[in-house]
Amino acid sequence: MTRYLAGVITATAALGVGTWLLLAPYALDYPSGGTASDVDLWTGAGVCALSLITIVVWVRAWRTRLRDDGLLPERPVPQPGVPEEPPVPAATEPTIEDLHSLLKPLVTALAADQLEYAAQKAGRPTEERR
Amino acid sequence: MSRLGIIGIGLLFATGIWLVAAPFVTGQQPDGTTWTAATRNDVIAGALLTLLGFAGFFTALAGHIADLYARGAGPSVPQ
Repeated sequence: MTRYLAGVITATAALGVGTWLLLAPYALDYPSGGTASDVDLWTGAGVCALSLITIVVWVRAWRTRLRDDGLLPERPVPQPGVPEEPPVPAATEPTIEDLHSLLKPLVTALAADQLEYAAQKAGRPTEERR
Repeated sequence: MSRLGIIGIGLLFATGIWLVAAPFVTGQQPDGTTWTAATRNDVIAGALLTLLGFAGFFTALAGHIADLYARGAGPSVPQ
């Protein structure tokens, strides 16, 4: 862990130095257009860019190490071999045909029950009256 | 990945050395005269950057080597 921390701290402090180099020509009132001003601005820009890249590299390395040690949850990686689930089709409005096809078996079953009941009633009229 | 980080710190160290040398290399600070504010600033900032790079480089390198030991790489057999 020490090396990651050392890397991040060093690069962050260097970012501070780079920022100061960018500001120094104005803060210390360098002669405008002089070599000193150019050197500080270009070097400061380079140090800032290099520091930012170095910070990103160290932070990524640290995160990778923490994942390897099981201290950070694994990032879900999409696997190229596994096909993705097909998209669920959008729900459509039910039509009257859907309603008919849904109710038809129910109505048929009810009609059959009714016929059977009527047949039983006709066959045993006395029992029903009791 | 951390090898790239060590290279980055090494480059920061080299930039610090450049910054210390820059006023004299570019001729903005003539020999034998009092240092200007720009020269003083460059030398101090460069020294700071060099020191940071030096400390960071060797701390990171020491951590890298400590990890190699911790991983249990056995001693190499002399041939």
